[in-house]
Amino acid sequence: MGNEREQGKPMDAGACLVPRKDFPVFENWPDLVYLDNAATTHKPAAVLRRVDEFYRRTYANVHRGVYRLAEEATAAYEEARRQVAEFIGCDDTGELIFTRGTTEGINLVAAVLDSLVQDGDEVLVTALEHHSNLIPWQQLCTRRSLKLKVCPITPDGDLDLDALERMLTPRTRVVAFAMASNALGTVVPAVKVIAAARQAGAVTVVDAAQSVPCMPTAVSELGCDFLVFSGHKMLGPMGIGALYGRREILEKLPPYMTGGEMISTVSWDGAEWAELPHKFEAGTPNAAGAVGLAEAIRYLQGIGMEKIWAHEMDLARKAREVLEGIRGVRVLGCPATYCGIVSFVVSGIHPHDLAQFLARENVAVRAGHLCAQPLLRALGVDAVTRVSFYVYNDYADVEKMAEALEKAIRFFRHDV
Amino acid sequence: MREPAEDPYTEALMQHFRNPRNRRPLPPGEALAEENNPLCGDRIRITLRMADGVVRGLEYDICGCAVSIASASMMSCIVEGKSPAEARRLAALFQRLVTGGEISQEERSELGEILAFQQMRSYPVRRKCALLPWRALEKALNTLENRKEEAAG
Repeated sequence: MGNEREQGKPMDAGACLVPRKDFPVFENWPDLVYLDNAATTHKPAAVLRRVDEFYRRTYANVHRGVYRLAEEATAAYEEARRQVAEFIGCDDTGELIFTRGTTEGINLVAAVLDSLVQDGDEVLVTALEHHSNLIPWQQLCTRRSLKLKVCPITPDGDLDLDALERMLTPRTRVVAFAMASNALGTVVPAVKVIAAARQAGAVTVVDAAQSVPCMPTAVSELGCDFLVFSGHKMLGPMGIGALYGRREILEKLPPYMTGGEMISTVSWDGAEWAELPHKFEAGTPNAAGAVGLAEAIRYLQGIGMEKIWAHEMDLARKAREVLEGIRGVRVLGCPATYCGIVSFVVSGIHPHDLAQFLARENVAVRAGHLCAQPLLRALGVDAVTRVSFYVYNDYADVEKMAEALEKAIRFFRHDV
Repeated sequence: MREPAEDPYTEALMQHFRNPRNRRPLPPGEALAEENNPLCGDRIRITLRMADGVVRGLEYDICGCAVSIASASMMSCIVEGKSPAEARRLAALFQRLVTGGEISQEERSELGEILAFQQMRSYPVRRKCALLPWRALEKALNTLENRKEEAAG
């Protein structure tokens, strides 16, 4: 059991889900109030130890050597694949491709779907997208003369499902959407979106970068064709992520990158592609990252994904309540279903000044356009301040943030 | 616990932020140059008059953070009465100040209160905020030179 927290203790409302001592960063920064989890999360010692152990005891290149060390490394890598696949409700490991992260996953899908689209087809995204689920589609549309459509959101920040229905046409070839918004925290009703898209005959791509870390995910229930996420936002190492793709469609698609490991036979004239998932994993993979991610998943499963989502919602609700009680603060959106992400603006204080001032008080938040410029512009702001929570945050973190915020308001604004 | 680096909100900076000199709304047609910070969407528009070969009355319209506003305010003061060549030299000097280059004693006394921006050396992400007005100034000087050349040619 990788999880070091004490089992069977009753949960206090608003308390951390895990002991902070599981996370070495808090030993080095004991006063840190870390509220930038939508950007990246800190690592439990168990994950660091697992990666270290992989390099010390079972390290060799995978899927190549026949000596014992190489076989153990390969076994560890493939066991990690099995665990990651199982975590997202996928029982065919051929459908689970390791990537560097969400961005690479979406770029991969947008590149290989080139072979399935025809001039005049349409790609539908939503107004909630992060740049990484927008620009790859813009590029595909430019390359192949497709039309990019953007499904709007309601004033509360929910996806406008009526508009979605209207915008789907027989020409809609791809529907790509964020399951949880990195800016507003909105959790999109993915099952409905996917069902509608499939009915229209579109391929569905789920950007699950913000949802897989904090809620139960089952691709078998979602019914999507592709789903991508990153390891570093869920306690895993940087530089590892995964792409789930439905076997039937992956088999039809050409490879993304070519080179080592992804072939079965090569001659001077051509090559035959390896079986799934290796066809999409050219070159030496980040096997250490994969085993680290599997360990992170074990740690999260020790807590329970339902519990993590409830905790995130609880902290987001608390943050909203506290922020809305401070004069001059405007919280963006009020989605019906959400995760642990809250963005806001403070009249008269630039988000970068605010974030810098909060840093002085040991409160780490994100400020800027959050890689969602079109969304923020639609909401009438250029930049925002964002707080985002994870398993090691508690109510006290929300309160410290609010105290620092009130201090910042007194410092920057002479009218209060 | 680590010692926090001294933060950028020094007294001099906050004083200019709270009371920026030479700031006024500029209609787009009046601006000689515009500069944006893609990091945060901040914008500055700038105009200046030349008389007897020196800058007279630099004015700007800015939507930005405390760092960029204070930088614009101090810049508008220091370039007053300077030739374009001197203004460009100051822009280069300011860049050196915030990025960590050597600054001589003589240059220190010339910069005066602008020395407050030396703190930006510890805040590489915020340097762009401090540099925004100076980039706009360089652009404005280019616009003026191009106009002069066109008029001459």
